[in-house]
Amino acid sequence: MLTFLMRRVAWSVVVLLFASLLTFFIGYKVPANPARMIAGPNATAETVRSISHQLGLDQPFYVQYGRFLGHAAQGDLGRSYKTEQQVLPTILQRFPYTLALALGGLAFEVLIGASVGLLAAGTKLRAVDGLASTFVLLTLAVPSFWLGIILLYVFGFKYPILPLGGAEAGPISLLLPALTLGLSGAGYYARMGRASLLEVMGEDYIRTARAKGVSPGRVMLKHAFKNALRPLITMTALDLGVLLGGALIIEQVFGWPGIGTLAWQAVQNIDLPMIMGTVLFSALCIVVANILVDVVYSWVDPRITV
Amino acid sequence: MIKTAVLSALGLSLSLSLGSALAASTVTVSYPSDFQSLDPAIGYDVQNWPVEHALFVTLLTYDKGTNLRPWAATDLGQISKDNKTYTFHLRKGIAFQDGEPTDAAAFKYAFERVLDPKTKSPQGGTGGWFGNLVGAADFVSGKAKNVSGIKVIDPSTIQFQLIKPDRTFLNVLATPFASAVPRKAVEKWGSDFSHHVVANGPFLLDSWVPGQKVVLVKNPTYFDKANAAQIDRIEFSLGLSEQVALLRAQRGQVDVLGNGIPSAQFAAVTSNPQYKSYVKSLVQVGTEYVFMNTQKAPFNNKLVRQAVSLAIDKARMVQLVNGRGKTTGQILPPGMPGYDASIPVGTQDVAKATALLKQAGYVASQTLTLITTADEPGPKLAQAVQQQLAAIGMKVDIKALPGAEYINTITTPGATSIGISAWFQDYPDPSDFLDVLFEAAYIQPGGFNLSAYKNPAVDQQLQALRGQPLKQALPGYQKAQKQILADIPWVPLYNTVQYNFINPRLTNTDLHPVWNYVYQDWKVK
Repeated sequence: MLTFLMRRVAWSVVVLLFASLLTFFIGYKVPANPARMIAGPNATAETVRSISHQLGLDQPFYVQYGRFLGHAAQGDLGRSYKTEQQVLPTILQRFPYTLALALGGLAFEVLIGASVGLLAAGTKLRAVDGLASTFVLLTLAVPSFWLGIILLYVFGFKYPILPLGGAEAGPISLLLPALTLGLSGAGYYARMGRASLLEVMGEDYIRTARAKGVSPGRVMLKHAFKNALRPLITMTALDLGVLLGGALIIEQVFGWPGIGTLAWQAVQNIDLPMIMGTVLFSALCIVVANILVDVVYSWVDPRITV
Repeated sequence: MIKTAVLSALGLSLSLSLGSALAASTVTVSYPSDFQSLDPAIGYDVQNWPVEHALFVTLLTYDKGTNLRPWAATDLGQISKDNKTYTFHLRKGIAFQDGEPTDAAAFKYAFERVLDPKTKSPQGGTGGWFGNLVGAADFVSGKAKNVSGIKVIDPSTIQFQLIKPDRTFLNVLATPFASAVPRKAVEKWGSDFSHHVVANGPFLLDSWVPGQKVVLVKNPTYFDKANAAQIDRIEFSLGLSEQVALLRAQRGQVDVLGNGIPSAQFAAVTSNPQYKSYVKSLVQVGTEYVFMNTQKAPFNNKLVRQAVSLAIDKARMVQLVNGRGKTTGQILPPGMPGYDASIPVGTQDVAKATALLKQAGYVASQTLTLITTADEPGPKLAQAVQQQLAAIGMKVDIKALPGAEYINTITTPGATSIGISAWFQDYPDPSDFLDVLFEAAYIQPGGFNLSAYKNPAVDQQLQALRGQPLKQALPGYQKAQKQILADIPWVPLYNTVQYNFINPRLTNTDLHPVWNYVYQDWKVK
């Protein structure tokens, strides 16, 4: 177990290094001068040159990247070109919002999606299966930004029982963005849950259990569901990793102050330190989620060793 | 699925917090993005400036229009006969909230801080607005420890010496870059001063939650009691999309949409009688235009430029921005001294344009690239220009670039042939348009002479006009503008009309030509 973890951590470092190199290279090659963004559109050319020099933007790629890595190794991701705020504390300040949205969205995804999928496969009723398929199609087809706006309009404006975007109203502000996020992803869970349960139901051990006279409910709960949930665990953990990097569109629609919004604004401003920070943070979340999947897998299915 | 009963219960418990009633003396303004910086040496855009103007005091400022009036100074200053020395006496009793006096030394420190390259101010270095001060170059290069052209005569008197006469120095003194700042606090916080502002203006910074909220509160010790803030608190709600902010404003949860009415909802809002009293408009002191590179084929041929100018239907452009513009035929916008109402807008003449293009020997097989910003209304305008130029036989591809890349491309000499851009005033002086946009000196990386316009006679005239009093110089500027227009480096399209959504419970909210919003003037009914 320990060897496995050490190997995975080593690989993770390589992945993060590669992600940082690629992002830095793209940022370096974008034909836009960050010094101009700092100075503003009306600033003189001399001012732009001076800022460029101070930030070391006039130095070769390898010098700039090397300096970034050196500082990053000490936990210093630099300061935003746009706001001059330190990158890491800014990301950490936004993280609780992203974490709340990710967990809330994931809870809705899993609860709604897995329930629909398992119900569709478990009941074997055509009508239920048809309804589930419609639900899957709808959630996959409706764009999340549109769904978000409609929910905001209905529950925030027309019948103002929930906050109209933002996070200032406290935990209740989370309900609509998390529900939107959950509904947008629930279709995948429903499809996966349904397919997984149908596959499990055809396994020999299910037939054996039935032949032994085990009640259908017990077969379903004790044998089928547990095994059908396995792929959903993988999906959930990977989803969590992705969502912790920021749910960009949902955050934008709802004005949710998470990492996704921060990343989006950084890209718009060619704010390289902030882009690097948010990309690395997202990559770290995905890498950690992957390791967790392996560990949880071995816990759910003792046949799998890590 | 959430049951209706649950929603009803939630509704009951939340009705107070989500209701439409706003606290009487608290005003809410929304912006889709956070403030860049509230440090007056750094923050430089339409969102930052009005707030900096509410937090920090300058020597001079503007009245309700564009006339200068004293603020921290006792009068408009004494100007020497050679127009190079400006002396100001300061009003007594002005202090920052931490008790540090706003005296001549505080102003000198602030000016030197802007000049210092370490500050990374947009107006830093000798190329910035303070670069004309005697000794600025030595200070910037590190040869001198202070700027010899800024003299603290006594705590209440400050004197500025310019290298060459420049009338606009008085306007510069009214910009936030010329705000006094408290030395102790700035040295304590360094780059983080923006988030720990120590102010002396009508408002103080109460709190700033990045990406979410900025709160200003009335300054109880503001020196000018007669012009003190009329409201107790302004909350800036940040990060909301424009559509959601509009819904909040319609619900009464937001008083003012900082960026105005969103384009997509413009027609619906302005045509709704319910919101008639909410909509306020102002013709902005700015011009939207098509520029052509006068040094590069095919636009180095004046006949081609003339053909383009006749091919474009300006009224159509205004239609495309939902009527939020006023067609123009000149560079200077209304409200800018030197604006000449007698200059015609010009009408589209496709037949004449086609003939001119033929006369110029234009080869129709070549395809040109038109650069525009990816932000609205750039792509819409570019498509219209593309269609209108196609009608006279010019093939144009559109390249819509995001903000930073767009500015970098258009300000790289020789990188563009034709493009769409806009320019808005920093201060009400024609040199802020004609010098910056047409002097040959501004054909350099980062410079805004986008059409690479070169006319030595115009250069000479503009330089001479800068040293003259504005009233005396205006005929010269009008003549220079006419000459530039005759050379056709631009096709001026329209002057943007800004439509804002302001809750009528607020009064005294007329949009200001320089500041847009003057928060200290706002009142709640």
